[in-house]
Amino acid sequence: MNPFAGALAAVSLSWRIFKRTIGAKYRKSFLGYFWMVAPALLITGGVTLASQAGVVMPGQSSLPQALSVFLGTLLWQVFAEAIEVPHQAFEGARSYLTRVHFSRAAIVLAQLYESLLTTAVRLTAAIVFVAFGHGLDVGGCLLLPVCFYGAVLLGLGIGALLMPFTQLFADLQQTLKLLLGYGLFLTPAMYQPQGDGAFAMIVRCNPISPLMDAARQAAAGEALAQPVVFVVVLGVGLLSTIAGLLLVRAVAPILIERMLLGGR
Amino acid sequence: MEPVIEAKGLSKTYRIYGNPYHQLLELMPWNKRQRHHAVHALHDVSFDVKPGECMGLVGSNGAGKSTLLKVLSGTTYPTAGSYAVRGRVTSLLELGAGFHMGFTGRENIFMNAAMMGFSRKEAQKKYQEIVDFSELGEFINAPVRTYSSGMGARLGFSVAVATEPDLLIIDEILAVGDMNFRRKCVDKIFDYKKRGKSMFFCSHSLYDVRQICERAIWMRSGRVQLLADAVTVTNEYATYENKIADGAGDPVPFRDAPVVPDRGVDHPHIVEGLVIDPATGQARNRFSPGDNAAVRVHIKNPKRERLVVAVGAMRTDGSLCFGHTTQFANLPFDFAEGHVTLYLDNLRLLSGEFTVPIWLFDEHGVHRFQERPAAQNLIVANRTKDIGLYLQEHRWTLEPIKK
Amino acid sequence: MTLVRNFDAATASRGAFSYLTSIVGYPTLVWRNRFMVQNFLRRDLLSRVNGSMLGVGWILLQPLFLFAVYYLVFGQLLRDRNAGGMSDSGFAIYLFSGVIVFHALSEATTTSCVMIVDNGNLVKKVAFPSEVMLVHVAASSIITFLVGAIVCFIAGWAMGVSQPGWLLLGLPLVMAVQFVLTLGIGLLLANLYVFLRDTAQLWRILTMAWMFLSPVFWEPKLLEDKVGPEWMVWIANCNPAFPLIQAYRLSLGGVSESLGAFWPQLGVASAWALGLFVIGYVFFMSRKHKYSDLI
Repeated sequence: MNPFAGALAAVSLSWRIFKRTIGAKYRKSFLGYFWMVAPALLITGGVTLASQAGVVMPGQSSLPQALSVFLGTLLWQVFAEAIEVPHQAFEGARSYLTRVHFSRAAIVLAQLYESLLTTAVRLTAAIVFVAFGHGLDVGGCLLLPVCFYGAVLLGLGIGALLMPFTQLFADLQQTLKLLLGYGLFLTPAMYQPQGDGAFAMIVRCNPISPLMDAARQAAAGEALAQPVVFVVVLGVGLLSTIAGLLLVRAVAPILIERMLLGGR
Repeated sequence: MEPVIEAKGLSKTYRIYGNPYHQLLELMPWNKRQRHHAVHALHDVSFDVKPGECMGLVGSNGAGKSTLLKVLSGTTYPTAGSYAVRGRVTSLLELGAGFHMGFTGRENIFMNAAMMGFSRKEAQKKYQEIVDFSELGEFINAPVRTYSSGMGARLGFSVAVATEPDLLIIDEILAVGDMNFRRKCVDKIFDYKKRGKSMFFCSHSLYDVRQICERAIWMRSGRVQLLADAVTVTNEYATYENKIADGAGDPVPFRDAPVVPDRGVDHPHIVEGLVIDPATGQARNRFSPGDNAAVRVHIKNPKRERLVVAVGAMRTDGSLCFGHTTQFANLPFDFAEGHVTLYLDNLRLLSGEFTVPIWLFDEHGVHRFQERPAAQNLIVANRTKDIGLYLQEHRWTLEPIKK
Repeated sequence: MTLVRNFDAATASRGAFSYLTSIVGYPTLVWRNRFMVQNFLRRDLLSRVNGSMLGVGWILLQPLFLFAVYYLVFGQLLRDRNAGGMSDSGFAIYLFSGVIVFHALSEATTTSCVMIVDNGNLVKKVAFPSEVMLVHVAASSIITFLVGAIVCFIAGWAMGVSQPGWLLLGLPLVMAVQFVLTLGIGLLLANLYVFLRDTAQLWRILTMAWMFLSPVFWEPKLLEDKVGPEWMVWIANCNPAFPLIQAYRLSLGGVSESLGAFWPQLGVASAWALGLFVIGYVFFMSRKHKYSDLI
């Protein structure tokens, strides 16, 4: 089979897998896509209430605080879910990976579609909320998708580079799950840390932080405060995704071999 | 004695919804329209099974057999009607369904036993028996995911039968493991029947149903079509099926019985089968209708197993003209070597050449040790001009009708 | 011959209240199936440890990590708001004790929610009392909690923050209450999830809100100061986790008058637990006969 036909087959197969998983996921679920933005809405509500009570210090952006929190939380979700894409793809396909021979790229692609779809839903929600809550200019409209899909790229790259190791070491996977579950608190999603304590340092080193800042500034119609950092993060995202997918391709046979042997 | 199963008017309706919203809408109090279509898997099924009885269940695919078995084993519930099951029930429907692939056979035995309601003590007492029966040996301490599919099924069967149920629900018994293990399974089931326990047995093999069951149910599209003794039900069902399939010939041939692989010298076998003249005891294969003939079978049975012999006559086109067994005549035997002779007095067959197949079965008539034809075919030559397969007793009358 | 099982479709669909009387038999049922519960529990604990190098360590590490994150985040934000002016170590122990209780509660309820559906293979194919299946989830969460509680107790004592006393003997009682509460909520959620797959998503969000409305980070004084809207204060007060967490803190030797008194807190918590358990059980049982077709 020539590589082009192979790629085509993988795409059509992955599309079918994707449709099936989406169907299974939202079978018996009535609110469907709403759940993709629900956590962000809840956190926004919570932070708003807390800041009314004077508990949480407001961030420094010209956006209303609720919007700022909403954008940050959404972006974090997009990022965190993209990190899990490669691992999830292999976990989910465990049952048929060892039985049927087919393009390995298809499963990662199928999982990626899902991530792209949920990102699109969240992006739409973000644009609608920003448009109503603050007003949106053309530049913001263009830049917000870049931020969101930049977060997907970054997450996907990190996830793909980690995948071989998370598949092999349960501990690493556990740690990653913990970090992703509560990592939201280590980002500037809810507020900007002040000063230079340990916490502020962690938040600043977080790779998703520049994207969050950029998204807010874009939504507010301001110029980017740190355009160089923003572009660098995007570039790193792109490069790591390419490197990660190459790595996945290289190690997939080894991982499947292990599955066949009955190991982890 | 009270019946082990008492089912009254069991019905089961599945609701199929086009999409989940319909289900939600239907739950709303203001909803008036029916938004699902109903599938009636069972409709008004009533029967009982007495202690020690084996009830058979036959029917084509989609007749509701599996649903009925699931209802009886308690994994799903009827939407109308009631049932009572007295005693411990074990079903062999889903062997090893509760097994967890990552854990060892040993751990899974305990897990499965626990789910069947055993205490730790009971489970520990049964453990060795289960391991021995399953023939897994050292593998018992390996994770189940490393098992071959046969090993998994063997373990599942072993755990299930070790529960000492009062009622065993079986779907196609003879489908576990290799031939030798199958034989063990069948023996276990018969042994269990001998101890006066009840069974509910579903099979597509009418032969098995007839061999094992006293009564049987024939189900058709969710309803009980016929509930009677097993022979009647299998005959009726076979006739009906043949009508559909437009097949011909014998409804329940011996050929359906599975074969036990040859074990060598110990294996019971037919040394020779001969068509003879009963008067002289000498081989003779040409007869006329009305003659006396006999088939003598020389059998060797070094391990003195209890055996059943069947003899038939088959036309060249493969249809069985008759078939008789020592089992139906209630003549069990277990000698190490000897002759089993079937006397065919007053032969009714008409002109033709017939092969004389001889079968050697185990005592239940379920497993076949050997099948071989007699040394020479039976040849019948008419003295009359009658045509057809056999000589029917007959007479004629002539009555012209006057207008 | 004993009557083992009977089923009548007409009686089964009579509604939830007809199952109220059978609740008395539940403890016996669990006791009779204790071997099954033990096995499930063993399997659960083993699968957490299997294939990981830290093994049992994870049971402790998870709440510790949560604690670290919350301490970093909320330590900065909330300390001066906690009007009692707690010391750093005081706040740390206060936070950690809250986190371990809530972590156990939320983890077990989230697991229970999907338990019946995720074990569809068993529920559909093996006839066994599925209402017993959630017991081991609650039990496992109590074990997780206990590991954290020991650490919390020792740390509190060593730092001189807590003053353990006779109330420590009440700890098993509080754990029993938590067990019943977890089981009750678990039954309710598992039942809902079979019919409505949105439940899992909704619960994940609700637990998050629940945590913020429970005295994990903040002291009850905050409520008395009436920060936040009226309804929020009301919800925070009407919260089964509220008396439970405080009772735990008291029995572990917490000494703050804002914690209230041990026995009243325990009383309120057990009322919540029993009430939720009865509701959860009754609804679970009244729909149990539909599960295998819906999974």
